[in-house]
Amino acid sequence: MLELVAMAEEDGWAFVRTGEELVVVQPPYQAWSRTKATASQLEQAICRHGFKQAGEPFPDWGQLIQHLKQRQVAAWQERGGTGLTEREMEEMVQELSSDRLAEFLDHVETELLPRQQWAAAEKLLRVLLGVRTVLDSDFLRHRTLSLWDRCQEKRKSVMNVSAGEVAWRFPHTPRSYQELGNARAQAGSPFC
Amino acid sequence: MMRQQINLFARANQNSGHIEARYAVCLTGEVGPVLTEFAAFVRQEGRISINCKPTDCEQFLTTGQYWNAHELAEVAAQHSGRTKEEELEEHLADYYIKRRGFDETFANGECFRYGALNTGGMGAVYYGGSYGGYCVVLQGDFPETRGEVAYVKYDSLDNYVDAAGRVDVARLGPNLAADSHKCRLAAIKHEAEIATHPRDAWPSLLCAGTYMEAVFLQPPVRTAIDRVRMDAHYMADTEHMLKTALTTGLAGDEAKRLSTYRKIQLLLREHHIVLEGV
Repeated sequence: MLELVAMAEEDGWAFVRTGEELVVVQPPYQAWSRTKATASQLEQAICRHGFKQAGEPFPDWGQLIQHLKQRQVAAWQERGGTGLTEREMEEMVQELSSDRLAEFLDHVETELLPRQQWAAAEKLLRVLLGVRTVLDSDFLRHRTLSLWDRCQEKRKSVMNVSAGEVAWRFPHTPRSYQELGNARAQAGSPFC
Repeated sequence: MMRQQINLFARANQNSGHIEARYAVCLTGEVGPVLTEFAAFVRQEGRISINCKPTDCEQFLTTGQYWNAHELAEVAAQHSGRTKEEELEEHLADYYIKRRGFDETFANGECFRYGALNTGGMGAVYYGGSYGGYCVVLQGDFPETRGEVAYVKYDSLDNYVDAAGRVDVARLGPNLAADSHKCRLAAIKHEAEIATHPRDAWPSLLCAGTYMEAVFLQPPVRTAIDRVRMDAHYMADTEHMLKTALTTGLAGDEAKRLSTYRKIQLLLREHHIVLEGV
């Protein structure tokens, strides 16, 4: 059993007692963002840093973290908080360093393409191709374009299943489903 | 009968001679030369910093003001219809008596603001790690009235006040420094460790484990901010959220975190304040 001892709900930070131990948890609520705390730190947090005493039991971490996330979002929305628009996010990307942009390309290459997440890869690459830092750097520009080409090629090679081939492989599949399968495959959806 | 309140800043000033004497003793030891350099470093680089959660930082930058617990209780009372004291008691809960006791011991105690002596880095990380928080560093000439700031060797609430709110003035007094003597108090505090800490570790030495508390009266305003620091990993992780935000979308709490970060970025830019990842 866990006890939510105190929280700063607007940021989702919380002191939690787990048996004898007191810990502080913060987003993104991974093991590394959970640290041991002392009673005096708890006192500081309440007396000086806006934490509110709670005293709620939770059966497990999953439910406690869900609670923290919900309270955080609710508090944010009460204050009129809204998420960033696409344009605002693209503006943020414009301001990223070359190193960070290179890491985004790493993500496309090592995560999105191998997982065949074509739409996501294309979206990200399209955004990056509009970034001044990318356009001004031969290395970043070539890499982005190269990944774009690879994305298109891989998408075509995996998804380029002709109706004839479906008929050969799956002779008992009605023709309409053969063509449906090809259309779905072209759209990047699983054939099912 | 109302007890006589202590003037914290006057008491700090009165302690200057005592600090000079202790500092002189420290200088006669093996680490004397290093301590002299350390004191000079603190005098040169020392600033007051305030560690904030993201929403508090955004509020500070938006409103231009950083409120203490009493001011926040006043604002809450205006909306709730309760008294300010009721709001404060609800907020402080089990710690109400202790905190009130401390506030009432000192003249203008309810107006005190708290920060840490900072010479670089993320300042006093009060709980958890530095991840997720912001360190607001005030300018070197803050506060304008040097006679209304005192530095305490250790956190005041944690070390010099009991649960009933009684302040151990006898123990607190010798550990108070006026602004003019903060660097010497810092040297006295770290005499035992200074030999094992190279110069580039001095900023973290001042804030690792314990920190030197700054207590001051002047309300910090946005124009008094020198720079804002955030943990470099937190900055990187937040920027990386853009990948997910642009493709599959973020969950509500993640969207909030990214939005708050962006707001802080823009507010800092608007007011020509540097954001450093450290």
